[in-house]
Amino acid sequence: MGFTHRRGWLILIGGPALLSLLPMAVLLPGILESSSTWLHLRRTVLADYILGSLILLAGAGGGAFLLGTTLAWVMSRYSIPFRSFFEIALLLPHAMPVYISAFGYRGLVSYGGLLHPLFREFSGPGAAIFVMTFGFYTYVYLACRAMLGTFGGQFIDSARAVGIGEWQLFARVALPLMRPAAFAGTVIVGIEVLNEFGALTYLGVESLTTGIFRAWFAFGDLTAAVKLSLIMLAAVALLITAERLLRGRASFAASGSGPAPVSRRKPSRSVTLILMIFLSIPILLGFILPGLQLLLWAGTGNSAAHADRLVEITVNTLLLSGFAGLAGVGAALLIGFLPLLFRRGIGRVLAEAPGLGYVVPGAIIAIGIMRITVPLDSWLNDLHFHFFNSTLGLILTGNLAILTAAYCIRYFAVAYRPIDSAYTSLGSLHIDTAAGLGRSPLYVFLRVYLPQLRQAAFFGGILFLLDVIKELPLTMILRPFNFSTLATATYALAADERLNEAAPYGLVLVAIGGGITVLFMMISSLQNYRRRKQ
Amino acid sequence: MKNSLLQVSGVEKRFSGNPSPAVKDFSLSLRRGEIYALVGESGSGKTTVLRLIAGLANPDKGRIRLNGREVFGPGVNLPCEKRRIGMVFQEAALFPNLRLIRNVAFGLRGKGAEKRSRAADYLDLVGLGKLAGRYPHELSGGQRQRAALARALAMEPDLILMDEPFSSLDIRIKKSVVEQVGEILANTEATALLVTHSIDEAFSLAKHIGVMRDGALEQEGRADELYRSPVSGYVADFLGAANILTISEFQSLIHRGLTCPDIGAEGTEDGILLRPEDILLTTREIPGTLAGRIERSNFIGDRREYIISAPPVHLRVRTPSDKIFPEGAKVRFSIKKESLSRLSTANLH
Amino acid sequence: MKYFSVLVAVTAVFLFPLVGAGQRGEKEEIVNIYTHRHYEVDEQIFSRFEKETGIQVNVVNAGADELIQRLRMEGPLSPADILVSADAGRLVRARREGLLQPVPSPVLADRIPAHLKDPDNYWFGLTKRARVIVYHKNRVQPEELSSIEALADPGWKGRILLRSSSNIYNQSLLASLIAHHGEEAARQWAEGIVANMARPPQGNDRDQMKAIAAGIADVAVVNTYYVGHMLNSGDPVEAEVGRQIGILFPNQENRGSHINISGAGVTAHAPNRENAVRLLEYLVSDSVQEIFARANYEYPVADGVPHSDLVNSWGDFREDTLALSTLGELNSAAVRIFDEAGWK
Repeated sequence: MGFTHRRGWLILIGGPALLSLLPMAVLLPGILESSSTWLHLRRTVLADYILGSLILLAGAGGGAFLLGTTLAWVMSRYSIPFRSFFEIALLLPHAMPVYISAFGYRGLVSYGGLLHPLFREFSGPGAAIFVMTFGFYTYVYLACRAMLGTFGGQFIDSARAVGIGEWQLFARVALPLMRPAAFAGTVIVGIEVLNEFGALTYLGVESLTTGIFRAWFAFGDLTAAVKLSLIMLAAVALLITAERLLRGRASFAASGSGPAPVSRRKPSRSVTLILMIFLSIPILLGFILPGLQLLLWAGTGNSAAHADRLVEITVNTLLLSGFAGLAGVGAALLIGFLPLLFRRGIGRVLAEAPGLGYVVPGAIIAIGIMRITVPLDSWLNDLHFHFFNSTLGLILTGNLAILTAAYCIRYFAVAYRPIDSAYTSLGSLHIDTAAGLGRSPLYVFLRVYLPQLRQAAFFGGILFLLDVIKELPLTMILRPFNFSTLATATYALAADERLNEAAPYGLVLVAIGGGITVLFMMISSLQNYRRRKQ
Repeated sequence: MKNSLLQVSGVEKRFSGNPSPAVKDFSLSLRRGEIYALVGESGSGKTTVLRLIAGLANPDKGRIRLNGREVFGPGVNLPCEKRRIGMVFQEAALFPNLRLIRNVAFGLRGKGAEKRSRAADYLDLVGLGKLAGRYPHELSGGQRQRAALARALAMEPDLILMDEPFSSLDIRIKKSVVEQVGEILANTEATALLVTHSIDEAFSLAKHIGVMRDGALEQEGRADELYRSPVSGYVADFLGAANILTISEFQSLIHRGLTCPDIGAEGTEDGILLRPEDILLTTREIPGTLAGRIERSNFIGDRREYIISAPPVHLRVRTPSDKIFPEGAKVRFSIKKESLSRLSTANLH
Repeated sequence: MKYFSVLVAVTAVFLFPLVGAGQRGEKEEIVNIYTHRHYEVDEQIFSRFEKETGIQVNVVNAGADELIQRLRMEGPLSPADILVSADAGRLVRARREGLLQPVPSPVLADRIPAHLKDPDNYWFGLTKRARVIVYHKNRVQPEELSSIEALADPGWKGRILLRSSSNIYNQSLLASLIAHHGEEAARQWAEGIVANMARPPQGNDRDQMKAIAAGIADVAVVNTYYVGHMLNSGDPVEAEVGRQIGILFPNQENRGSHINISGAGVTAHAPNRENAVRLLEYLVSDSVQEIFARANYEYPVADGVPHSDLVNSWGDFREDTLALSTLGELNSAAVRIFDEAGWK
């Protein structure tokens, strides 16, 4: 007990945490190799890929930044009718995967679509920036709202005392206040933009990620794919560093009165109307319009025949994501305990390591995993053959548990963030206290920490679940026989030009995502309400 | 020694990034049933010593014996969970999601009913029996400290360690909580090591006191011995208000006519300790008194404190508050007979 | 302790997914297919096969490139028996990467024309289609159109649409041009086409046709079965688009229209090889070929099988009898040339 217990945590939990880096590590030797494909790509299209990614980053990142900050300000500052509706609706675009949005808009503007002939084309970087801005602004929006909700009050109120106008209030006080949160949100948008594959392929936009897919699938060249991913990862690293640098100077001296949300103002009738229109725009563009197109497609005929397949795939998706959600939250809870156990630094390193998976493209993680499972399967088969004289087949490759592990590696950071802040606020003192009472870290983890982490685990789990349901490239590569998810089915059918048939799958996907989002919002606002009553 | 419950020998601890050790060559011994207070400024190493004894940190050198077993030494490092010690921290550190009864029962083993009944007994012991079902956030600071003590006592440990347990308490209730805790410790015949920066708490609870300075034990012994005969100006100052004179200053006072016991003139490094309450003031011209002038006069509740100037020194004097001397007045002072002691003034500050 | 039972439960849950693994060791008769096609018609055909033979058909649907990569990674342990692709180029690639094995079946050799299968019996075409020129009936006369090569003429500037170079159908088309004219001429053609495009490539074959109806361009190049699907779509908009479009089989005066196949091969380490061969032979039987023809507007590979009425209405055409294996061999050259010509 005692220190061996800690060692037990280090090995049993810290070990897998480090192992999560294995799929990426396995691919690293590729840096040093070169190939003819790589040279060809470098000569011809690499610059286009990089430029493409940069343009998308600037456009969608900037768009999401502007949209997210202004929305957060309007929602925090102004008293608007149907507030709760907007609270929830503004998050719905998060449930609509960007690739589905792209299909939807293409349908809307093509011959016979609702927006035709007002708009006739939907393709290229402009279109991509459009769907990504309205698909990803939620990251910036949520971060800024949280910031304003906590700190807004003090700063805004003291600025108002000076007597400046609303625009100045926004530009000179609110915006700088939101900046660190907005930057953090924009970095996430940037990562999502760099990782996006389905929408860009469909819209004919070239970026590093589409290049990675092309190198791997079309050319079959792993080396080129790995080198492109490294460039992409370098871009992500730059983004994150830039954000840290920009954030480093900003710190908050909260005054003694404690956290307070911004005080609300009720504007005039005409301004209220304008604001309501403004708020409706992202909901319309990010959710309603594409959703409408999906409904129209689904309504045309052939969907009825596919009812059982739809049900089967929906059940598959729910089971898999549910299972993955439990695994992801479980991993985050266990691994998140390490920094409290090992204060010197190794705990924090081990806990942050799996988070790296978030910035790596899903396809690369999948390839890395297959690079590990296939030889392992081979070895297992040899072993089995040696003892039982028959083959076992593929056990690990194409296995749902491995796919689940892949999701955990990819989205660990999503579940980990809320759990980590909860752990930080709980502190490690309880571990010492329990030790003084003769109890092991495991005991205090189960009896004291876990019960207090329920809410954080719930939040983390919901966010994790949402991302898993929408996930495309990883699932496409690692899934087992006869197994599709709503995301893969939608994409496959749509990419195969069968949008009418794709629509029902897309609708169910969006409905589930939207439903979960709404539920989540309602539960968290219920908790806020209860807390305020105390 | 057979009766020694805790024996710490030659313990040293260095933290990376610090040139000087946090604890150097520290030795301590505690007898069963004894309550010992380790006092010092923040950074003196007292909390580190506590954590080393508890097993929350490992010494670089030295040995620790607890109740006849070596818990730390060459080849031995018993983890905290196995050392049979009870701890009370500054913030009580009760588990916020558990009711008091479950908090107290946390470390107990056995069947649920047995644990609960024992926990209830200890809650009664600290006077919180009726609040067994409450959650920590529903209690006052003092109640929480008592609950933490109950939790530690319920383990029936060999040794109780307390790290500044009263520092976060409101000053109004601190005194009563300290008294209650003293009573509880006495009733249970517990052996305890208290770490605090407050000498008053130390006086209240402990008979033995150790003064720590820069990682080393400056002096230890019975409270009254330390008060009367500190070995250095630092200890003297820590234990209470003090007048510290150099030998030459003292000699000059004697030359001018002050009557006092002969201390002896050796050792230029030494100083003379004179406690403020040992100086008597009078207006009458009594032989053996010396003239001085009241520089300042302060009312401190049950006494008055004066600063008098009597070249070459300034002296701090405390008298019962009914005797009033106005500022600026001329006064004569003398020293109580057996009230002087020598001490080393090396590193006074 | 109750924690122990929780641990057991959790372990059991985690082991459950392994239950489905190890499909090689099963006792029932099965055949495992990796296919890019997932038409309803395929599922019907597989069900019929299952009923008639008692062999269960397991299907993995994914993009063809994905499937090939997966086969590569899985190696000798792969459970796949058959690889189906909607393009000959990929089958050639699969063979080149050692993923297929030869099937000396007299049935297949007999019923499939030589240029529609691998010369060494590594893969076999199952259905055929042509890549044709479509045009807006109101804005273009069929007499203005003749060959694929002619579309690069400056006269068509701003009036044509082709989809992305990443699409395998276009890659095979370019490969056929390389085979017939050499790389230099092919590159010039590609550059000419890029100069004539009404917009940068986007969308799929149906999108090109919709764009023509929308007036963005007048002419596009698509696969024949998509035209069929458009005309018979449940979506009235698509049907309307189909009606506005005429189709022309290019290169009828010289080598014939570029064709391609949907085909299949038996994988190199197929665990159920005999079942796989049986299924392939089943797929070239008259009844199945007819189903393909009717339901999917494809051309059967076997002779004497009736076409669908719509396909009949397009008439007969001369097809380019270039061995399709060539398409695959020239695929990487085609991709390279696309990149060099700036065809996105």
